[in-house]
Amino acid sequence: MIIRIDELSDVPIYQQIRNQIVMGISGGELAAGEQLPTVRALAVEMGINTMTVSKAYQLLKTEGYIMTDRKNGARVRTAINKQASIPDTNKTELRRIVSEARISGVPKEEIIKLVEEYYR
Amino acid sequence: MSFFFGLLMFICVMPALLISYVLMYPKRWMEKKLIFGVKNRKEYKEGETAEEVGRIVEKYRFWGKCILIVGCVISGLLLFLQGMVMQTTVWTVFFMLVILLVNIPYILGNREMKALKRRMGLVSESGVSLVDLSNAGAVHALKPAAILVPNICATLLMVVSLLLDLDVISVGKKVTGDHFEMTMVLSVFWFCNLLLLVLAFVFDGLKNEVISTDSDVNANYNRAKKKNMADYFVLYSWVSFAYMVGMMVSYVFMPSELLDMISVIVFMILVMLAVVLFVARQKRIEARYEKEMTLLADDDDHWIAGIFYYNPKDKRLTVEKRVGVGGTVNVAHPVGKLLLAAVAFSLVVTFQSLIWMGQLESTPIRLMAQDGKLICHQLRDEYVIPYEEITGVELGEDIHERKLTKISGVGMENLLKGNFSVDGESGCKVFLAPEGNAYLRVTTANGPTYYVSGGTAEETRTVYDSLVNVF
Repeated sequence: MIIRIDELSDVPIYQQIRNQIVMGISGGELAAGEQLPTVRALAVEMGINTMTVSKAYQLLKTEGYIMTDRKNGARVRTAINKQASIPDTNKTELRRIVSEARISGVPKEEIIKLVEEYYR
Repeated sequence: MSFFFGLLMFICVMPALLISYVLMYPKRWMEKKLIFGVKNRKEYKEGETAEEVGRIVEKYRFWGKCILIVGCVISGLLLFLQGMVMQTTVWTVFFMLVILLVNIPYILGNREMKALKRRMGLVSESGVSLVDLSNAGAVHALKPAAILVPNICATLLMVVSLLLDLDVISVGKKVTGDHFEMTMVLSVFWFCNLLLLVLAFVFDGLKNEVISTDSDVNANYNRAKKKNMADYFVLYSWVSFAYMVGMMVSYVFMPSELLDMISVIVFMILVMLAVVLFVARQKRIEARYEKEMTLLADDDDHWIAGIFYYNPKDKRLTVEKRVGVGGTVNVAHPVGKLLLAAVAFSLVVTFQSLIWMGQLESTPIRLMAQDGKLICHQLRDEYVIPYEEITGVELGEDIHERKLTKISGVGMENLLKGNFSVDGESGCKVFLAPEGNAYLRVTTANGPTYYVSGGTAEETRTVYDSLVNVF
């Protein structure tokens, strides 16, 4: 799985890492139980501080996407907690995206098509 | 001997020049991932732009070729230079100059490509980096044992050499002089080996390049490149160790300057052959993956002239080179800045040393007997021996009849100056022009023995006559 990091983006780098790993899990690029690189290896590859990667991993662990232990490092969780509900922050974000699309004149079908594509 | 030295320099300069040309000015630009250090985009390969890029490439390739040809011709002519100091000076200046010159068309090409990119409205993805999560930190090709074994052997050899020089162990005739000459010479190669050992691990740990969305392609490409590099380092370590063994055998059993020079030439030929092999394999790897390079980060703006990497936001010290093979440093990194300063400092020191050597060779030494003192003088160096300390003076015809081993100071073809061991007697002070000259052996009451001469045999004899009248 290829991660794309933009240092000049408004989104913090740890958040970018977190988001892309989540997208990787959702899209099936990262399988359940798959080993993730160590904090140090990923920091060296990205040319960023180890603390940034550590923060991203910590966030993913708190959110229940990955599990870490001293022996095996970080792995994608085999059983991710399925809440079957969208958190409020994400609902607000989705609303913003839909609103912007609506103002720009994007048809409803286009948005639904995109959601279907991403949900697949 | 002078011809062999020229040959040695020729063997070092020519492959460096050729390899620089081949890597900087490739033939089929459309298939390369970079054009003069600028990312090759699909927009460059279309219509009139393709013609313009082709024109830029051809123009600077032509200039590169001209520099290569002129460099080759001059290298050939320099083989006939005489005199070690002259050769060292001219070859060093020529080497630096020709490597700088061969870079100039590349730098101009880089500038023109960046200007074209701006005109086309193409923007670099500054700050964007791609990482293959599956391969991060997982692609290595260097087997630690393979590179550690020759280095351990070289270290053991150094210990043996030191014990031989300390007379703790005795083998063969041991004609090494009394002052760690063998250990010092071997230590140069040993130190180079250790430096390459560190570099081998640094290069093996370089960031993996992302060229495709397929992680397997990325892994194979990076592994192939790292394997090539690791193989070169291991091969160099073994060649260097073999040479150290040969040198020790030569020192202990059959010392000969000519043999030493020939063995250095053979060593350099082998090293250069290994470099050529390494570059050829690297080019094969690049050619093999050309069609699979669908994903390349565009960080052109971080590459000054397509050669120096400057990215203050990148925490890495070493990155893969854009031109050439291997790695380079991020000059925005604090350690990178220090290394750059060290390189600049070493260049200044090199040129200063060359000027100093030129001055030493061109300034005649003076020998005077005046005011009750024997005075030897050249540039800032001066030996003053008061008559009351002198216990004896002998006139010798040819210093080459004696065995001189330099401990510290200057040991040039036409000038010997400093502390030497003479015929096994250590701590002698030498201040003489050895070629076609007489010399004086001056013994002192409680001080060292002096071997001195004037700039000419006549000057030496005149001083000897005046000293004989005194004693």
